Amino acid sequence: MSAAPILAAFRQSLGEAWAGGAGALLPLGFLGGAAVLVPLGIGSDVETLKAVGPGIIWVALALASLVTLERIFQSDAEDGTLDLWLQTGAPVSAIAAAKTIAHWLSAGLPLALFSPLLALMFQAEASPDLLVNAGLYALGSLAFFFWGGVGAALSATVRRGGLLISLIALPLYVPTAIFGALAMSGGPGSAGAPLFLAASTLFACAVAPYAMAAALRLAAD
Amino acid sequence: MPDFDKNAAYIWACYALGALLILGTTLQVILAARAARKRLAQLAANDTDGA
Amino acid sequence: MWSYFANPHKFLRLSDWLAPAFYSLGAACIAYGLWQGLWIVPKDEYQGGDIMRVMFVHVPAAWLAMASYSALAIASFVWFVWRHELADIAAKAIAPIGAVWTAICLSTGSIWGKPTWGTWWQWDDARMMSVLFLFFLFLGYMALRAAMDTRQKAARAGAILAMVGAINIPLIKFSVDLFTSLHQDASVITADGPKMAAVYLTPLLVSAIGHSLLFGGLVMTRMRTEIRERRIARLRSRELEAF
Repeated sequence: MSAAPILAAFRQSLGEAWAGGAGALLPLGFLGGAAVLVPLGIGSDVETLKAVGPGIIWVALALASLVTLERIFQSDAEDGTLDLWLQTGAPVSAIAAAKTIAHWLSAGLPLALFSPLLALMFQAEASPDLLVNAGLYALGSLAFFFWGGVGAALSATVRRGGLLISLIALPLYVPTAIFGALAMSGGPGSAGAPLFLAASTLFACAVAPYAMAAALRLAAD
Repeated sequence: MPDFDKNAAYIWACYALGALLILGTTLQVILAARAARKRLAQLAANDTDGA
Repeated sequence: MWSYFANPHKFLRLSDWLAPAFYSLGAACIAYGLWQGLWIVPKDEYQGGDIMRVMFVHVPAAWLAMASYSALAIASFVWFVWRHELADIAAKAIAPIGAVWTAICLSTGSIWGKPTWGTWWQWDDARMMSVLFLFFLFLGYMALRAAMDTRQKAARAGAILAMVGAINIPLIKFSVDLFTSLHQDASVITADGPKMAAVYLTPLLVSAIGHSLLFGGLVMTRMRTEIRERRIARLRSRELEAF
């Protein structure tokens, strides 16, 4: 067994995610659009925006992961690529993880890196903390992508699967959303929250690939 | 009928809601069971006719 | 042991008398709980007066919400490992009934919350939040099963999702606990309260047993329906083949 199929899956997914529209600009546009709607909806009060800003970015990240993941496995199941992956003999969980990470690299990570700009728009003070927060967004969005990937793999053969993914993934996103928002609140208990966030992301990385593999074998049948 | 203090409406609402949901579910389950039994009996009768 | 219960014929024979027994015993227990809860039990001033009578429908529902998801996860695991058809039939039967009891727990909890906490919904209450996410897990499970085009696929996808949900529950619970412990509002009246007196505990236990029996009976009836539906589908396809 070699790592070649896994690398190939990674490259294929990266190309797919990057080519859909304008590379990372499309998810960025989505995140920006979603975030800009918020002040229009809740008003432009500086203190309010400051308070809700980090949470809005978490929500936008979760939504962005759901939107970009809808077709991650569906197109493979439709055009038969999935059967080829399964025949290579490489561990399916590794292939699924590679595809998920490729999508995270082209949609999740750029969003996280872009987050300090959005934070400034939400009236946050310019400080090195914003860069730390960007790291936390990157960490948390990885968990979003892995759990969303489970939903995507389970609904790979379902038409209009996007709505299903959201329903499946929502309860699984809870720990990440809570730890992430807590870590940025600066309130009591926020000191340990980044560690909890990292732990829940690790948990997702450890468990989700196997669930995705089981779901993909089902989709290929 | 028991006589409750100021929160009587809330208590009755809870019990009514619970009763409604549970009885509704029970009714649906029993009707579905009856329909399935009837259809199966019909099919089984046709089956022996044909055989 | 599983193989003994995995036989649909044995199950049909067993549930033929067991389900009615569960129904009547369950109804008797619930009736006793209702009578005690509404008429006999004295009101507890410390818990806000008469409103604590809601406990006799809310607490059994909360217990069943958790027990039914555990049952769903166990049935899914048994099906996934041993592929006993009856385990999948059980999982399919449990999900909607469990969702109903979870909904009862949520709605009675929020009605109870209004006079005691002054709000229908308390984001800072760990139990409310956990049950809400449990409800979403049930909804996702049912939606996924419904979306699959064959029975086998529905069973496999459902089992995977139920198990993923089950291993995530401790983490969800922990994060919700952490979230709420930091936001704890002063308006929340005691979570623990005084030790519960036997006047309350006995009717509560009887109610919980009654709800569990009724739940078990409903699940058995739904399983019987599902077994018959599968037979109907088999007979239909045979008829079609005959043409």
